[in-house]
Amino acid sequence: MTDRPGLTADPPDGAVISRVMVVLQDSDETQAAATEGVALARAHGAEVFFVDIPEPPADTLVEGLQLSVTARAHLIDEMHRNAHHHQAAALGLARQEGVSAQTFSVASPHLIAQAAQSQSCDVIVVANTGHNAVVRLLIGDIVPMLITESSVPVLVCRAPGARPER
Amino acid sequence: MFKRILIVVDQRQVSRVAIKQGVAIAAAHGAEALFFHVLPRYTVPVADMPPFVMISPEEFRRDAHAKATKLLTAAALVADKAVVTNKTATGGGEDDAHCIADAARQRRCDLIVAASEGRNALLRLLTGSVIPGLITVSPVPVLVVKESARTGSEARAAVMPKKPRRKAQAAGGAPLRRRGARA
Repeated sequence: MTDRPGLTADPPDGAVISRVMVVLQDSDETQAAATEGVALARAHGAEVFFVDIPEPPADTLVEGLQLSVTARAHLIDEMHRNAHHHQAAALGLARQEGVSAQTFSVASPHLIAQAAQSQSCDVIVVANTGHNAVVRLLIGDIVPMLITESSVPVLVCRAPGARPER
Repeated sequence: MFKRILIVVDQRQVSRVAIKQGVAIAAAHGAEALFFHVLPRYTVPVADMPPFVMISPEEFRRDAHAKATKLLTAAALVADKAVVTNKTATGGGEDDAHCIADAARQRRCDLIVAASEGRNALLRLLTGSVIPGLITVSPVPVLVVKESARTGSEARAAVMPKKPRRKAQAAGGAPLRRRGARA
């Protein structure tokens, strides 16, 4: 890396960030992760991998009643549409900042940590949805999961307005 | 991108990883490192059992300050070695996460680096890890690093000498195949 201001002849380990993985979720806060990830990649001259999880509802139940096939198909369609929307927004942001980026999808959130390792990413960027620690655990939020499973550092961004300032 | 990075320093072994990574990022961004240590709280021993050792609040405070100074000096040395401008600070309060978040806000830090032990999410909550609370209350992004942290760059460097190993495996595997052919 040539653009590392302040680095001496004896650089500490882990200074180089050449690949940044940004987790895109189906939430409004995901834009914060994309912005932070792209800014980080730009500062390090790194490339960005946007990863999203277009998770189809496994057994979509509403008050104990299974939705009809058409309703489920409609939900899946909408989920894919949202994923495409977030991907397009993130790619547009990367293009705007002059950062090389690519997108891919994983079938399960548990595969993100593995994907980061197999793609040799140096950091995973994810947005905090604004819930508290216990709620995050109960609703199966991706942040605790990533911190547990990932061997690479996880950067948790705070979405602007996600939580009122103290 | 980052101007001032708050690095959480504590007595755990894993805290060294946070110092190392935090200093590396500070060096890469030309940022200042702020090493922050949360002082332990003095709790009055429970009354239904006589305490083994009675320690006065003053003694406890003096001891905590001495330990903090030792930890922060060691951290500052790492930053000095990497030619990173650094400061040290201590704080205390009812909740460690709030204390760190407040320090980051007051000192205008734009990143917090904290280390996590390789536990699961529930254990982090039950053992009083600062990470879950910090993620909730922090006004700035939180970088969670782990003991086994091996960045992609390091991983790439590690897989470089893979070819000779493959040859050795192939050589070792050859007699096996021959033996199978005879049978």
